[in-house]
Amino acid sequence: MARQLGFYVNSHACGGCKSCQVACKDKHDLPLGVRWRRVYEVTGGGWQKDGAAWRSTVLAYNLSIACNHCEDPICVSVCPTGAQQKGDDGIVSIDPHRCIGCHYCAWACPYGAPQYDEEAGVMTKCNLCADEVESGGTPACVAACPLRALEFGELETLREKYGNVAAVFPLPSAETTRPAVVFNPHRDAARADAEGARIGNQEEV
Amino acid sequence: MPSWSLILFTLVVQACVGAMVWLEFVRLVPAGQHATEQPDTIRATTMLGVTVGIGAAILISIFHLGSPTKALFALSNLGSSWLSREILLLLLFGGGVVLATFMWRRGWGSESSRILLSRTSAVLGLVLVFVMARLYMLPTAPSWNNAATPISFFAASFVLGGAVVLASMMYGRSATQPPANVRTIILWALVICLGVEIALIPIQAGVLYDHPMVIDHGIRFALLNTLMVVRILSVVVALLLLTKSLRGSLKQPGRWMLPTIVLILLAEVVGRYIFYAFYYSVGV
Repeated sequence: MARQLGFYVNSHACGGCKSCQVACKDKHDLPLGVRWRRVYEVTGGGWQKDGAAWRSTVLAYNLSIACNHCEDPICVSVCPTGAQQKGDDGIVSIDPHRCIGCHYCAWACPYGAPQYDEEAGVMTKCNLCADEVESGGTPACVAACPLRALEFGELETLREKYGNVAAVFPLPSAETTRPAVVFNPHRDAARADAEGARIGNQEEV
Repeated sequence: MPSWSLILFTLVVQACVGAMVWLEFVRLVPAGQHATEQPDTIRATTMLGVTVGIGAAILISIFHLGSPTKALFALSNLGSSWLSREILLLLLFGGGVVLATFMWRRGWGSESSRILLSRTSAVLGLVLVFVMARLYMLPTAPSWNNAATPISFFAASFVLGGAVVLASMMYGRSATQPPANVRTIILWALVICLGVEIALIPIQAGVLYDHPMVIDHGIRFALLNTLMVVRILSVVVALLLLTKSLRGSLKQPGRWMLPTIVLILLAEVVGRYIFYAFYYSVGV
């Protein structure tokens, strides 16, 4: 089986400080509006009458998402130029010399990974800090997380350590693209979907 | 805000395909008893318009890219990308139409070879419309991944193409009138296709209104409502005018043709605006 690197996201531990997001922008010198990693704030619930009392059902958690370097990446299959490539290490990357900036990958990706660089006229995305990883380092987002809510490594190893959860609200079922990610869902994630929770910071991300 | 270049591109290409299909269909219709002109004079006007339209569509498609200078790379992934296939078919269809137009206008080649090329282009055009629809049917995009996408793309092609041929009949440089039965067939086809578009609206609305992006945002909800009303009204009024024209209950039906064509254009532009503006995918 080919090598597949991936992320582990501990949503239960994430405090939503966005250090990962900032470290990523800093490391890759990303232009305004381009965020390869984003922290989504999921919010929902309210107050529920329970007999004579009112009970709080408020829920809130953070979800740090970048490219999940899917095992079956839809961005690679839809890209008309072949600019989107999946490497031997499982990393999905974009060749800026081939990308024509048609945005088709952005329409197709359910994780919001491909982001358009207006000035360069091409799509860009997380490359799992391939240069750092090659020299034995860790991706900038993982290194920056003060709560150790992010890890990276061989997907098989991550699954052995943390289990097989690859989809958590508001992300889609893992069947479509088989994302190379493992989640430790927040305790509220299970009822977030059922109770119609929303992304609270949609304008920001 | 959707990309106007994509709205224009898809509508212009579909109008060109529809016009080519109608031209070939019209040729198969025997001329009526009182016909004074064969459809080939309609062909000369329409095919010139289609050639200009395809040229404009190719330019629009190139310049909506972030990096237009690398546009030829778009043909690199025919194996799995519907966008690559769309570009290939657009070039084949466009090439066929341009060559056929020159052949008809200059009298190059035998008539049978010109007809063969025109019909091949029309068939390629139909495949192109299917590929255009397939391109949007992404498993991750519920607002597009349903039967309404291909049906509405084909309906738009026949409606816009019919409008182009009707306009050529009425405003082309021809002193004589085309066969009346040809006009009647096109008007009936427009009625049927617009009827299909009306029937699709509940399916499209069901998908579009079932998303938090619309439900949670008052402005988007109001915009979608307004656009839906404009689309339904323009289709219904165009249908009424076409039906009255067919039943002969309009005084001076020729005078109503331009407003009808304008209403059809408005309906298609608004419909395509809704298609792009209210796109949503699963996930984030």
